[in-house]
Amino acid sequence: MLRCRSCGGIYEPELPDKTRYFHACPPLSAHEILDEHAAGTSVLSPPTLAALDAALAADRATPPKAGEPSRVDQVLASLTIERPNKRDETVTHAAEPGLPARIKSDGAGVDVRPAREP
Amino acid sequence: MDASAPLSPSLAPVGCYFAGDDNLRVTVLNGLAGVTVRVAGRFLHCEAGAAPRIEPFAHTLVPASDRTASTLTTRLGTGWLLDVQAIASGGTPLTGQTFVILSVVRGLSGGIEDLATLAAGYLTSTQRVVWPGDRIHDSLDGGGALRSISGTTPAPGAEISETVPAGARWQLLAFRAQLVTDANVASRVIRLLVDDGANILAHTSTNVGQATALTYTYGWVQGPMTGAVGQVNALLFGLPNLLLLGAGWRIRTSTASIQVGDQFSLVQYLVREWIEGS
Repeated sequence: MLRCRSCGGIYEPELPDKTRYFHACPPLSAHEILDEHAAGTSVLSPPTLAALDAALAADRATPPKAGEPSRVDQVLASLTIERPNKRDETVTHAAEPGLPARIKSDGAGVDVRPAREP
Repeated sequence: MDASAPLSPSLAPVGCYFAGDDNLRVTVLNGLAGVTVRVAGRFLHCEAGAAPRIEPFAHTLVPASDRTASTLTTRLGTGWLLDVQAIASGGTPLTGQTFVILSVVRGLSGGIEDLATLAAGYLTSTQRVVWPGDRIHDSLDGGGALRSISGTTPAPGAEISETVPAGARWQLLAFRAQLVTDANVASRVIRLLVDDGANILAHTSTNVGQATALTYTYGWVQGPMTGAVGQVNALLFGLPNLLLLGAGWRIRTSTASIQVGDQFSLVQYLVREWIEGS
């Protein structure tokens, strides 16, 4: 069992059917994007940032009704923001024939954890 | 051509002539650990000054399990290849997991020139790829291998994202996950997305809000795109039929109003898998 240091995800590197599992970190979730925005570390483009700020202001002024998506949700639903320093274990072809393939990105590495309970 | 070669077709009417610098190459694209490929056959030697003789040969190759190409190039000599077959002598690959190409190349190392393909197809521990008699199959032929995959359990507050491995093509048949919501007041609504690694290609929204401190199990299966059906806390949704995904494409969630302590888990999905052979 491995834990990805980039995203905190937990996974088995080899599945019960003897195939390898290739972890790749997910894009940032909505709350992670909002946390970065609140911390002033957002990597959003200026137009997207402006749209998000406008949605935040509109939601504050007129909170969405129960069961309706907020304006912020509508802005974030169309975004795919990759995680900084993401790990991507899917492989690329070796630089030279005969050499093993390499994973695309190490990210921050992994920690080995005890095996999952059955 | 060797002087004795013209005599050979009568002995081996479907043989393939190998000049001295022609060699047999085995290329394996494999997605399963523990596989050994055994290649065996018979070769009619027709070396100058020597009587023709039929000699069996056998070689093994342990391929990489990441679907990249593993190769074995073997010198047979001068004469006629009578027959050759490949089978999994170790491991138990399913059809769709171990693809073999048998070819004739010129050269043994360095600049090897690929000259002819003899046979290509998926092998298992009982199904062989043979020459002569077999046709050259495409790695995308057939029904593929059925695989049930346990995905990554994301950190709290993070989304699910599963990526098609390099060298694979998937057809998504079913997807299932559980979401436990934290104490923050919000109505979480999950969308299941497919993207090509960057651009969203398709999505299906559950249109079901999950409130505070609840445990819901969400399932998607191929079939009619109906609204949610199922019991309380266990919901079933539709997926498009024939949803094919290439290497690097992702199946992921995007959850409106996801909170810092919301936890996805029990990520499990069913795919049909082929070797892409790229």
